[in-house]
Amino acid sequence: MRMERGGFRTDHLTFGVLAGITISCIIPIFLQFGIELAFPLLVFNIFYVFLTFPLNVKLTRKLNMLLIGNLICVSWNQLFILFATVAAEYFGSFFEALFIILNPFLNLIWIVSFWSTSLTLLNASNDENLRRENVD
Amino acid sequence: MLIEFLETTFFILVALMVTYLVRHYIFTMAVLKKTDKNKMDIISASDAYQPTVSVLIPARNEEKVIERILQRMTELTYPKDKLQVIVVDDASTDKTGQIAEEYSKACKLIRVVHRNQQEGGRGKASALNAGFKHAKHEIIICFDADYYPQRDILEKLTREFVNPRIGAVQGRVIVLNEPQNMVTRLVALERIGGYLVDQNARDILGLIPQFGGTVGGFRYDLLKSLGGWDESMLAEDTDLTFRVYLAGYKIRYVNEAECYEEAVENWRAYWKQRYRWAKGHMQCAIKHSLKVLKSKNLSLKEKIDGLFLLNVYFMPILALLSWIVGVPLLLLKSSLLLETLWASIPVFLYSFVGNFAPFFEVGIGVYLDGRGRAQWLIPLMIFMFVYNVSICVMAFMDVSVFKLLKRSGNCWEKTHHSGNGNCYIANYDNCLKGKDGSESESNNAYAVSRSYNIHSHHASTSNS
Repeated sequence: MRMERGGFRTDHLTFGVLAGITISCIIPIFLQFGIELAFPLLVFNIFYVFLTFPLNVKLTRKLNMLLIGNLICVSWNQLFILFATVAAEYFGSFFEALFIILNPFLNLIWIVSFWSTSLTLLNASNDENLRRENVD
Repeated sequence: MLIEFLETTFFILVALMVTYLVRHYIFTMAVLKKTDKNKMDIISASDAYQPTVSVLIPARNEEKVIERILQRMTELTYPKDKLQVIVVDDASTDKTGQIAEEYSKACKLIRVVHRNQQEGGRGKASALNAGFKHAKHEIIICFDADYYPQRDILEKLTREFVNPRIGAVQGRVIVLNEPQNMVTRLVALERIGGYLVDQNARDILGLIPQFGGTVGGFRYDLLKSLGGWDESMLAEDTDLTFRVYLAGYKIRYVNEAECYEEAVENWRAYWKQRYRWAKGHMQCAIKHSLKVLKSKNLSLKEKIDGLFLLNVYFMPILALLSWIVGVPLLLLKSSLLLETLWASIPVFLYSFVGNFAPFFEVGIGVYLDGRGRAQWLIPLMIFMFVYNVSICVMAFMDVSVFKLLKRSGNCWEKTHHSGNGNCYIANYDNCLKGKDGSESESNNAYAVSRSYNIHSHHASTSNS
């Protein structure tokens, strides 16, 4: 099958939505996360699924990237929440307010960076497929 | 009472921005869906229709770049007997007029219109009107002096006029000097999002593709009936776009018609250019918003899109306002809904201002263009947005003050072109020449700004 860069994969999107919902539910339940960690996870999955899964790239690659993204999300937010908890002890309610204000901004920094990097990788894999087909 | 007021304001602001976000998601997905169909359109489109064309090139102190576009005009594949090129030397104080005259002597189809210091220097619209007086053909196509079009661009643009409802066309702008520095690279991203996705989607969805002031054209009769370019507007292109639609005509965006521009090279030049665009766009919003709503020539979706388009330069100001309102609101009253809405605000920071295109629109555009490495720069869009917020705020204050004082306050700040793009054209010409020195048939100047990109989409698809 010839790989085209354009094209909208509704089937992949449907699968991605299901995968995103499953991951967003399973991880917080199993790891017993609070809302402050479940929320960024949900935001990431919504973004990633709706922006990446419609692309005409191999589904397994997109799923792998989704899982890696979730791992980064959990690690980033765990670390950040730990830091915030310690800082709140020292600086009091001011830091809590600062955390609420800055947290979405800081989360989006890695989400956008991860998304653009993963798009580069997916693009590269597509190019590889195109080149192989041309050689064949 | 104060909290309720802040809350309502915050909700309205976020709702407005989310509406833009949804609009651009629809745009992105529409382009993704239609990519394959577009390829078929290119093949099936008729090239038989070739009306007579007058090309207008306004130029003011463009000695470093004028030569390349004039050379290009002599290389166009469009039938020479149907072509007229008018260079408007807009009171240049350098060698622009002299260079144009030399080309005019060597090539009969090029004509130079000189404007003296009293007539010239009043902006691009004024120069275009001066050139328009000398135009005599059915279609008027405009190019800026720093642009470098494909050889067959006129065929691609003019074939759309076979449909009598089409009043104007717009081609795609690609940055020529993209590898030069970070500013040009980011402008290139902006152009990809703006043309490949935004303009393309508006064309696909039957909305309002915008005439961008260059790499586009009009029917002579329509332009004449509209009275040419409005010299009182700083964004004369946006103004003309809406006048065309209000007159009952449509604009087509032709993605395959590519032209290469020399983008601004530093932040200061970027500020000047965007400040003019922002101010001009705001003037257009004031002038046309009500007319768009009342027009019987526009469908409902065109009206909605028209309003979105007209008011796009107000969005960074609203984004700033949402932070100003949101922070005290979060400190005074914390709720899950508020925090959720607040979490959506950062998304708007990753947007380009000219069309409020969010990061994903740019990313998918870059993906469709086969430009893997350019995607790495998307996170930097945040700095561009913050910079643009101040540009838009200044422009808004300027427009408001002059509106209150009932003065025009228009001062056309010309964008300086260094001619640094010329070296990329030299690379491109070398790319086109085969081992035997003969030029290949391809006239796609993609390679100009992308010679460094070994994974060129066009190269791969043409090979296949």
